[in-house]
Amino acid sequence: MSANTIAVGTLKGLFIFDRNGDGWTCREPQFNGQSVFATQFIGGSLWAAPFTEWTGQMLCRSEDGGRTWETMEHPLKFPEETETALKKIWQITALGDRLFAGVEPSALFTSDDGGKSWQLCEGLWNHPHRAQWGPGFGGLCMHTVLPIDENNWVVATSTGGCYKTSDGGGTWTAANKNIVAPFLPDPEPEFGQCVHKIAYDPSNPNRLFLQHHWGVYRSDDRGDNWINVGKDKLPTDFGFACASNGPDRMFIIPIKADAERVFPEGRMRVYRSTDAGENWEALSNGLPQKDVYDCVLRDSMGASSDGSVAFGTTGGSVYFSGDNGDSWECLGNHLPRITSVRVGTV
Amino acid sequence: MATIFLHAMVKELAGRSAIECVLDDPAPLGDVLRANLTERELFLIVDETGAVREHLNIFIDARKIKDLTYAIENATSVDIFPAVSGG
Repeated sequence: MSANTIAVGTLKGLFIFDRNGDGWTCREPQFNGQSVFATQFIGGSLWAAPFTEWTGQMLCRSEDGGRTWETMEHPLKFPEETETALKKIWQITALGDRLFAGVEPSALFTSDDGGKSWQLCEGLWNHPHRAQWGPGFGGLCMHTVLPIDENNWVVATSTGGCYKTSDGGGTWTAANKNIVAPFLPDPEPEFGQCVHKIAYDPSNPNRLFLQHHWGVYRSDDRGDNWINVGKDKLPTDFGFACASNGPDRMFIIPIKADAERVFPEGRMRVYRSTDAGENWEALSNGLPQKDVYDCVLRDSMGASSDGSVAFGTTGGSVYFSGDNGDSWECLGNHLPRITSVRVGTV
Repeated sequence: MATIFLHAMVKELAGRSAIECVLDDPAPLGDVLRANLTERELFLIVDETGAVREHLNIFIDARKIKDLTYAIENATSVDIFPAVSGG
């Protein structure tokens, strides 16, 4: 089924684009003025996590493609004994009937009743490494949650790195082997890597793709081992966004450097590999190639199995491709800073 | 009867503007909020550690008192405003 909806979370609302014949139209913003760092299509529902500095974090679900919303009556929040306050929801996803949320400060929550109640994953919260995780520029956030099957889940936090469980969240191990961390005294530590985003290949759930602060990596064993698949093949090793719609296909968007968060050479390019990172090609057909000093954040690219790929920039531009990136069209400009993009069907 | 008035964004997100509370005795504002607001409404104002959200202001009978232990009684007026935190 072709994707017919693109959900674009921004610092000032959620913008929804609907397929309209051969083109797309943008509706009036939802959650006007509220930040939406996480949105997700789950089954026939659309989820969004609007946030304000005044009133904190909410979690909302729509059963009509984002036209009307139900706010969860029992908020996702930390248990009293943790003496911790929820700051933001960074990720919403699902496996079957179970919902998952990655939050700031870094923690994982699950819900088995459709979001009516949430449980902190205590196995991860009580992990001895957690006290040594530190915030990246985005905050100490659990930005990646990949429930591969009932027992095998992969998460990533900035900074702290990648962690995996094979017993449904009871116990967790760091999964950062071979990922370098030049900013630490030990350049190849067990944990502490600044992982920006991980995607998994939907046709091969053992295969993960990872955009790190210093390089692009692939794992063929659910994170036990990583190999650098971008070295000397990409214009930079820095970037945030990482998406895959398989098989073996991944998309990244290189950014010049951590201190210069703009496209290299002022050119907006998506890089695609169709052989799991062995080779890369720059995709620029339809993307501006001169004086573009913009950026794409970690959750601001989405892809679906029909070849739909979309991304949004910090400058408020939205681009879509219906052919796995061979060609792109601009769906809109001048939106607020874009923080999340998902492609789906409602 | 004490009345809690919600303003601006708090009112919009809560979906109502005023909550009337009958108090038998003076009671801490936090207890009154917990007894008379839904869990979702309360979370707009107070986080799970019990702290009033940083960018909200609470006025009790027109005095700024951001203290959930402050005792209110019948005829008290409580106004909860988003701060003008734009800068």
